[in-house]
Amino acid sequence: MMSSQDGDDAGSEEKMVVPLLSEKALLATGIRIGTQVRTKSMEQFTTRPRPDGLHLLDYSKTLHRIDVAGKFISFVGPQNVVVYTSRDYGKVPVEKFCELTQAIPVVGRFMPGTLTNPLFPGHLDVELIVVADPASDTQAIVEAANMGTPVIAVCDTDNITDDVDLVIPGNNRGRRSLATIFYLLARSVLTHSSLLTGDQQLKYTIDDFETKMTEADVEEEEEERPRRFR
Amino acid sequence: MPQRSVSLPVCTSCNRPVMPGEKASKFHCPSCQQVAVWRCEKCRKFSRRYKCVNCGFEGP
Repeated sequence: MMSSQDGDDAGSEEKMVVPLLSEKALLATGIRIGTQVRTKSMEQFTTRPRPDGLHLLDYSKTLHRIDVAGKFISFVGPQNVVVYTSRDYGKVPVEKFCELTQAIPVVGRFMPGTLTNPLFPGHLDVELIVVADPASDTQAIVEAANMGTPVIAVCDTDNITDDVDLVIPGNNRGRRSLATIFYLLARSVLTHSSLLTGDQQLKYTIDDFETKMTEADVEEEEEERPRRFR
Repeated sequence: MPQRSVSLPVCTSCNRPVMPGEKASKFHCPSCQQVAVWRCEKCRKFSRRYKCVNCGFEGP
């Protein structure tokens, strides 16, 4: 029997994860592709490495954690949640997620004092923070740690989960993967808030969550990418 | 003069009392939302596991 622990299966087309998203389509987004580095804190979410050295994430755990995170966000109230990313690829997914759930989006630079300084004009008093990458969104995590605010983070295999209270294991480098994670998270939040039923579709598709790039951007990215990953 | 005692919350991971002013976090269990989970500063820093006493959910 093939399980999600087996790294080489491509998933079945019949098995639907959510409406209009089969297991095969989910795996094609690269949601479980990790990196060649695996930290100890992410060991529990990974399976055996591929022959080329890339560690794979157990996507059944990813889906379970997305469901738990959705429950958590809906319990706290999405209007009390800040979703932050500094990544270019995360900008559109975060904005779409916040549009659907009424959470507060913060993209680009996280201005120091946003959570800790009440005199700062852009100060936010929130109860939960969601970040797309703990490695690049350190300012938000440090401020949340100082304020005692819980943190949900999308973590890849090479992330260190210090000061993170709930890990969502997933590929946070891929454009399509980030879009899928935030799509599923938005769906989970709306489902647990009773605004969406199990077989109902979202207003947007995964394609709408994806950051669109011009040809010049793609060429620039190809040049910057290390040769071994091509 | 009568003495008064203060009961401090206890960290879910290490079972030590969480001191006032510590950078600890408190939230309800993400899975069942029934039990309050306290994480002290050190346990957050070292990413120590916590377990919900109600539903058995393990984090982070």
